[in-house]
Amino acid sequence: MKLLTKTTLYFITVSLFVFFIGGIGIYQLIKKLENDKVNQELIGQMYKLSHDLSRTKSDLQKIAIISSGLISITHVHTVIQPFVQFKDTLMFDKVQNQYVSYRGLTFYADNNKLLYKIDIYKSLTESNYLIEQIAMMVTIMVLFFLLTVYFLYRYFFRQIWSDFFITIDKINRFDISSPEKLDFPESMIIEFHQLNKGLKLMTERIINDFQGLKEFVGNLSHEIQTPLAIIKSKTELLLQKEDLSEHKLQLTGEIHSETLRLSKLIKALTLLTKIDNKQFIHEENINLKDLIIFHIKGFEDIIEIKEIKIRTEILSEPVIKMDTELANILIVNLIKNAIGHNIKKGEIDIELSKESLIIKNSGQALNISPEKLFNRFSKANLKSESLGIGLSIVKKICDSYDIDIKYFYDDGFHELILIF
Amino acid sequence: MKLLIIEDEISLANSIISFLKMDGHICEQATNYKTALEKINLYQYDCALVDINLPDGSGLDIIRQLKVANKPTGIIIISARDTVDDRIKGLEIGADDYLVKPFDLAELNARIKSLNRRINFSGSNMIEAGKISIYPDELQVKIEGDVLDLTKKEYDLLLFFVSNTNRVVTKETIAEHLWGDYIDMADSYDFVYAHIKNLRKKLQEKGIENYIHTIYGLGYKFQVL
Repeated sequence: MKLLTKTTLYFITVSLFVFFIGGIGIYQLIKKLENDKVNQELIGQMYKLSHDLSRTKSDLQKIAIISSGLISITHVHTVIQPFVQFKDTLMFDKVQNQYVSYRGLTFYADNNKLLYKIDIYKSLTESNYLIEQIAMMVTIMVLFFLLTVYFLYRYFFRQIWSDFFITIDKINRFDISSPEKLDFPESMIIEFHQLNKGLKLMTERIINDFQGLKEFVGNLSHEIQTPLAIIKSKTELLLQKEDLSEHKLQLTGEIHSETLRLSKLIKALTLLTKIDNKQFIHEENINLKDLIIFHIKGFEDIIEIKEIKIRTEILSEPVIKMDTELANILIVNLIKNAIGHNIKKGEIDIELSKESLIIKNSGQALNISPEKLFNRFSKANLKSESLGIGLSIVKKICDSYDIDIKYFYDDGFHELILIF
Repeated sequence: MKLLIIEDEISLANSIISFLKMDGHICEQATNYKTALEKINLYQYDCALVDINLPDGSGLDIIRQLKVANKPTGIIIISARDTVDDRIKGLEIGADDYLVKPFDLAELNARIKSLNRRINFSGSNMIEAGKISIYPDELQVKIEGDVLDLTKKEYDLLLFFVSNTNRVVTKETIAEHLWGDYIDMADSYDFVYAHIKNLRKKLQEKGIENYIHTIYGLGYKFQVL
């Protein structure tokens, strides 16, 4: 949910709640005030009537006429408590042709001779009308207020948070591999200013670290390969010594061979890091069919020596955008893997279609779990000299180009499927 | 052949020189940019091995100098940098070959010889090793005038052996030379063995025995007796 939506929702909920409670309160208050006013009027009338009655000798009708409003006077013998009582009632109004609410007051009075029970009534139409009007006014004002505040809020929200949104936009477009530093606009709001300052420091650091890492990887490869080159060359010179015994030759040969392994390992690890760092940027349209055919040719005599039958089925010629070097490494590693983990007189099936590349090869089942297959240094068989890194390179390349890669083993066949 | 080795790692340069001297080449050494520049201006070399990263300059500038002076020197870059960009750049400015460290001395030796043949021999080009004559221009091998029918890989293998006559070459070095990145080290022995077996058989049919000696578990040595 967007920040604006969320805060607006909160604002509306709270406002409606407050105005609802407030509205009820105001309504009750006005109603009470109106009631008190009517009561006061009725009591005033009561005193006037009692006073008039005490001075009148006989003519009650006269009193009834001179007193305003509705009145009923009954002759009674005893007082029924309470002496004075208010009541609400509905009476039929002939003029309006409907029931109208009245407030009534019952009291007792005497003119020294006789006791009377007097009911006086006052119409509430007027005060009800007043309350209605006030309620309507208040509602309209509240709605007007809410709408104004809502639009003003949206407007100010955009004004105030605009710096924040610029910052978010900048972060979203942040590309670690570009050497350009992030430049945030100056914000007048202290918090945003602090946020931008913090982010600027952070991104600068990340960029520096990343550049450092890139340099480190490049240098590491260079720095290690040089001493390795020296070791290798010295062992090679040793191998040329005529007076070396067979045993010493063997030892020297092993050093030589391990040096080669180490240098290949460093190359592979450097490659993985470079892919991670997105250092391969020469993207071109790669025709996978041409690439596969080309590399199968490179493996030709190896396939022949292992007596492997290779079948290539090209259903389509997909062209994908990839770094040329990585595309070559990908295909070479896939084929190399299919050959390396094959059996003598085995088979390799390559099927290239519009959306997928399937490489199937005969071979023994894995003795590691398929999930670990793409991990570094997980070796599917006991060939200790194999680096166990080929498929993790394949996986890394696939990941960096959003190519889906899956592994299956079925009936003596390893199957790698790449979906692009 | 007169060679200049421009390499700041003296130890590596010494190894290279020792190895190349076995064939009687004259090798000179430059450990920095300044010396290298002086030498190429003063003397004429058949081949220069150039390291890119020198303490006081770039090997690429030395190559440019050689090209500007229009000297017929073959140039092989020896560098630990192995990106395609580095290679392309090196070859674009005029290097003839690019070898990534750590390389095999036998491989370097073979490349120097191949480069030397390309530059210095025009017309008929022939390498002799005992009864074997190799014609690199036609990719052909003759035994006492008789054409020896070899596959491309067998030919490469034989040429590699002949280039490294009297030297022990390990099976890994051979595998790297023949297949490069195509081969998994684990398999290299089998594949090298398969090719050597075939090559030996073909040589034997033409009456050549004992040219390729096996050094058990390690590699091979080509010797003309």
